[in-house]
Amino acid sequence: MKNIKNAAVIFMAFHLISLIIPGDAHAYINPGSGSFIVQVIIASLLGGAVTAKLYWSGIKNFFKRLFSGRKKG
Amino acid sequence: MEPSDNGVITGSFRDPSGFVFRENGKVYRQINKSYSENYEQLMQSGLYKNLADAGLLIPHEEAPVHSSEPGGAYKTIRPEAIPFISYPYEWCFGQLKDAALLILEIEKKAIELGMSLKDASVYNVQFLRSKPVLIDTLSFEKYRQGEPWIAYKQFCQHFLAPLALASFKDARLTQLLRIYIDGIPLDLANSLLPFRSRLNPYLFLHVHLHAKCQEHFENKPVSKKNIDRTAFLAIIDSLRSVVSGLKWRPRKTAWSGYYMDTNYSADSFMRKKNIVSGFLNKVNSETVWDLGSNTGVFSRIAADKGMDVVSFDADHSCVEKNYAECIEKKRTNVLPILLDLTNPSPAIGWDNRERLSLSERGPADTALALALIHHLAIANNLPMDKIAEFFSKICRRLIIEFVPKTDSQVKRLLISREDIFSCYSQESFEKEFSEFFDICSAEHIDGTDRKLYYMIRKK
Repeated sequence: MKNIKNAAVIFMAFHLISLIIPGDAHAYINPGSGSFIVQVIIASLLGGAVTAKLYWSGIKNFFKRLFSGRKKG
Repeated sequence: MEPSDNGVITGSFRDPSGFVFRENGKVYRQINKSYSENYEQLMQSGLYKNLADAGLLIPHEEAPVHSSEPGGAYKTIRPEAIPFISYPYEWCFGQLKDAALLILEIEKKAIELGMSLKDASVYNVQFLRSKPVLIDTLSFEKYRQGEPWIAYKQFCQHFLAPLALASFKDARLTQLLRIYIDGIPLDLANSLLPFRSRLNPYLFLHVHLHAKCQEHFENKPVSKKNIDRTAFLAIIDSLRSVVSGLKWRPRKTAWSGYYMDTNYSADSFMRKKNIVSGFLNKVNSETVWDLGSNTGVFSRIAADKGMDVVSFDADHSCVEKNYAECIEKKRTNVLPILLDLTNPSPAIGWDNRERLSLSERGPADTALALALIHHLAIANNLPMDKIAEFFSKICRRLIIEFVPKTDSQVKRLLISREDIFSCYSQESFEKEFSEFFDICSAEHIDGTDRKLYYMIRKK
């Protein structure tokens, strides 16, 4: 349990550190850091939704097999 | 005429890719060498043709003309002229929504052809033949796989925030665009939007969460995380979805039902239309400004004669109805505009020279001022000589209706106030306007006490 907790802390720290590393800003308008971050958040949420949509029948079948397997078991 | 420095139009200075300038009365855009690669990609990739043919991007031709600053020039192009420049705080909800959907449609097509909009300023959109069109040909850059949309913040502040405020709170809040030159700050939109707006998941993400992220990560540099093309397009699609879903129904205001509730019988209204039509035939002008146009009944008479009409009214519902009619009937020569004549759009922006005032965009060949004078003189306490002077500045010819005190509409205006308008009469109207105009024709509208005048500005 402690190892998992440590791993999670290191994982989060890595992400936070990577957020601090400056990127290049060559655009003439100021897009703002917050606007980049929120796009990343939205992309991951939508990405999940898009992936779910693409693989919906596969996901459905997985759960069907899971529950029919349990019944038989 | 817009202010300029050596021909360079003063609103056009922020983009290092190029600028707009005027030469011999025509408008050109200089493309700087720094933008040459992106410009060639725009043209060679087929994106320009795709967008111009679809009426989404202003068509242009390359021109052998030089600006007063040719030093860094790569090429000069001449875009198709926009007859009347207008600004988002002069648009009704429907116009702003269509402009937003235009930007998203263009961005989607651009990504498909390897490019992306580097800015999504609402001032890059103008109305041409009653439809929104992107006028900044230099807005495109090569799409770099993995990068977020650089123009996303601008899109949310310039388009999404005002549309959400109009839809969820009050359409009059789009006037905030006049105060905030770079779009409505998202924290302000966040504080003004009602709680139920947060129940819309995409609105929650693109406005509320976005505002919070801006606040939290302000001025902190971040490395750009990888957003692949599919995710990028999903973001654009979610913006399209939230914008499409925003609605605003014109309410029944005192003005939107005006023609049901006036001094005219059907016959006298027809007579008024005929007189105005007759005057317009004499005028034979190219551009008409219809001031206080309500839902645009008389604008359409001028438009049917082939004139380009800008149809102004201060009531949001009227402008919305006017715009809806233009779309439904596919009118290409009427532009409905939101404007309070007693407080018209001022010049704003850097040095108050980036966006033009109303008078800087005139004068019009002809102005219509029908059923208007009593609102200016009585409802708004404006002296007749000042009204006459104002009209002389904004048009060369004027078709104006005098509405006397015996008229029921004027009586209505005076019902709850003291009549301090001893100078308001047909005689004083004719006297004051004669200082600035030659009265060529005057016709009484049978069935009413009103009179229509056709006048030409004195030289």
